[in-house]
Amino acid sequence: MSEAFSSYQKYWTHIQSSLLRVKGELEKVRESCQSLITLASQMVNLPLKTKKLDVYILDAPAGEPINHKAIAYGPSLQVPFFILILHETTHVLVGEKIRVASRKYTNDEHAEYIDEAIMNLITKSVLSCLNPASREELVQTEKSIRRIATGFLPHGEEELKTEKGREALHRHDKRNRYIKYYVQTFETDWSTLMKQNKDFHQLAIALLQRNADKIKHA
Amino acid sequence: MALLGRMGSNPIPGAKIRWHMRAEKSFTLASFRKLKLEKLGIKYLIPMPASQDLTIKFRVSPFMNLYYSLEVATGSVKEAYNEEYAKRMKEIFPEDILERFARLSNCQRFSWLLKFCLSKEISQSKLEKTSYHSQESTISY
Repeated sequence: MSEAFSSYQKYWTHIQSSLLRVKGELEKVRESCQSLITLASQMVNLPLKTKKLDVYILDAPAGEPINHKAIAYGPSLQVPFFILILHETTHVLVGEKIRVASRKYTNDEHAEYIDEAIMNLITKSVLSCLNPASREELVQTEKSIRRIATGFLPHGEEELKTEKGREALHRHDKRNRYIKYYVQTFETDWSTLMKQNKDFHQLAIALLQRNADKIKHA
Repeated sequence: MALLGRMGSNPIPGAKIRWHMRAEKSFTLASFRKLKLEKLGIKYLIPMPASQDLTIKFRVSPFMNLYYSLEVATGSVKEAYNEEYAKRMKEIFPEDILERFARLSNCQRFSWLLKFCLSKEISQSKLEKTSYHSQESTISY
């Protein structure tokens, strides 16, 4: 890593100030982000495993949970920061529960799609509780971040013309298609089960059981 | 900060749904534009949770960025949206470094372990061993 850093140093000097500007924008809405995550935790009855969450701001287009107290967030991904941060934190909250439960009904690949779909349902549920003033605040911050992040990377399509690029695009589309399929499949039962205020593990099991046939034929 | 609406804050009786629907029109992702409260079964106007339960720290770490740059450059996570970035990173890193990283990365298993270490700030000691010190003190690790 140290050796690699000497090649990276010049690039880092160039990109660092933009990342710090993004950090500055995020600091303005830190409390809102904290409240969104706390609400997600309350909504699914899963306690936060940490009282301190680190959000690493990246120039690379990436977003994922790193461990139970840290997530990675790349503003160059075309997803609003509050959705991405909330989505990745729900992964931290839920852990492997959905994947493990899903493997009873499908293979690893689809277990991942199901996991992502349920994270999206949690995210949607939380965001639907936003009041207009808070939404506007987050949207304005997102616009500021987007302006900074456009300097990170031009979104060209040249690479997608290569075979590797086309393969990646195909995989990406397929993944999104299945996640959307599972979101639509689960949506009605999700809202019904959410009203019952069940333990999250029970909720997930019930959701999968109710939709076992649709998962099987996906 | 009042992130979520409160029961008593809506001045128009019975206007909860309209208020919500106006809000949802501005979500920037298409999938979030058609949120329907009843369908989601959400009790709107939930009291705002106490955010003191959680503290977020936004961090800018050179080593964490370096790691993800290497990961994308070596194609550990090949996606359509990171092809352009990977191409740029391949111009930055010498080929032998990318090859060595790809071998070590070993289909995510090593990377998860190392990212875990980096987030626990082991990177700080590694950083000190490199020649890079210029603006280190200004960055929050």
